[in-house]
Amino acid sequence: MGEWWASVRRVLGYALSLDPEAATRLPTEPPVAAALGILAITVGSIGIGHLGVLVLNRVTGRHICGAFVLGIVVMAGARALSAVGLWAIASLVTDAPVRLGTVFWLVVVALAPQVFGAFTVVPHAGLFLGRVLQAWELLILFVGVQVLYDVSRWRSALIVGLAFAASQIAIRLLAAPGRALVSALWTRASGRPMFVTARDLLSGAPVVPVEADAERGAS
Amino acid sequence: MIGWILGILGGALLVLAILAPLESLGWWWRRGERSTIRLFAAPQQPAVDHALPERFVVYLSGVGVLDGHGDTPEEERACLAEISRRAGVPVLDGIFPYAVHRHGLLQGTMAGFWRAVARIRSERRASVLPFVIQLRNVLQVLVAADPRYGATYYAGLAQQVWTKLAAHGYRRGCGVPVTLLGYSGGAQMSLGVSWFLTLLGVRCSVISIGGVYSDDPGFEHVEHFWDLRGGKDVIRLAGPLAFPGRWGVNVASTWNRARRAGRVTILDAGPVAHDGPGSYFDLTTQAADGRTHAEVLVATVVGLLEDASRVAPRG
Repeated sequence: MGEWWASVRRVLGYALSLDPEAATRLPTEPPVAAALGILAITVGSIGIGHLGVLVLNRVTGRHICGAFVLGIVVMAGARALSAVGLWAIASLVTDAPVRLGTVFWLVVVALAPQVFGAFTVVPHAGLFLGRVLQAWELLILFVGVQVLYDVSRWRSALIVGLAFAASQIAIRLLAAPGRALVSALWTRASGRPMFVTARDLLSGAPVVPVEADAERGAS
Repeated sequence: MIGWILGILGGALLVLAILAPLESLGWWWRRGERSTIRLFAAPQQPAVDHALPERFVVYLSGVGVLDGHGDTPEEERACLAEISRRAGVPVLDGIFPYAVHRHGLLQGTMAGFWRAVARIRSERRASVLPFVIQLRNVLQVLVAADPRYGATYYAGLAQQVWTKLAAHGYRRGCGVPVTLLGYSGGAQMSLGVSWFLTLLGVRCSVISIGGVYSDDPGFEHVEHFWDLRGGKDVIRLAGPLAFPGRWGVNVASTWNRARRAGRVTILDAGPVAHDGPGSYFDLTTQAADGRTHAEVLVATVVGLLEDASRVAPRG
């Protein structure tokens, strides 16, 4: 346990300080346990950062564990898609024979700044912090791609930039089915009939009018 | 040593900021969701017998208040009374905009602490401690302006406003428009409340006095937004500084959309400060034309209320 924690801290340190060492050993000795540790910490931290959403959805007890596990699964899935995009674009731009699995672990290690995700709970400033953490993630990817593919800064920036743009397009294209899927999973994990964000609350749907209509109809 | 002090103050501020949203979220958890659903589910009621005024004005005060009952400064009360008399409409105050529940800081769990702060404020004006009140309330403005927490916050605050309106005869579906008059951080709260009230079918407009506000979704709902800006008011600049949605480059923000649609009017209030001597509500400092700042403010607001009656309802 102590050894594992030390490896998590070491990999986190490399990643947060943009040390190329974070990526150097990825092809030969992927730090699977440490990367999974980072994934768990970030999901927990982001979970605290999303406290408002959890409270809004009245998630309690065992449902918090369910939401936590769901968070890991969704985040791992999203990162796997990002890794595929990054790997495909990098393979097109360079000839370096880097395996998809290696890029996946790089993407997971690049999550490191999200250990501070809990601080995004701070009203208003937390939203800005969230953007900063996202930019920090991209910088880690930028350094990692440079090391793994042995390319210049410009080519690394091009690869990461293209991959980021592709992921943004994919997010928009997959938004509707993705939301439906996550909502269905959330219902199982959290015990709430639907996933409700704060913005939904007063936007005319779904929690207030739907339940209000139901109540009116019953009375 | 200075580093330690700054570190401790920064850490304390961070803790306070992290805890700030818990109040409204806790309210939502305990009873907010149920009371919100009940309010939306309530059927429209016929208006009470006595004739309703042509408009209601609701005043939401600045961040220096501790509660909504006896804490509003005398000069603000005098101005509100004069606005009510000259415009011939009721001006409802006594709402504490910086909490979702119906009591101010003097009745909550920390009442003893806030009473002590209030005592120090009344006895020693130069003390730094009263700024704790402003800090606490500013954090609540940030909670309201944050899209993650704003909706639950506004649901609570709007229910305070709704209760106040109902106590004065307002009924759902009566069609009487409401103008929210927000001073300083009260402008942000007014926008959020108008967002909620329009979902209840209320026609809303907002008059901001030295308002500090974000690109709130309320801009999508108000019929018109007037912003009175004092030339010596630097506090109000916190709005465009802190909220990127107020920047011109964010062309898609609610603020910029409302401006393009002609639903925002910015008015120069003259060389007026945010608070203290020379402020919008100052009963003694005179403007260039010999009227006091308070008289100028009253005349301007009365004029805007007349303008509000000419604004077409939003479709």
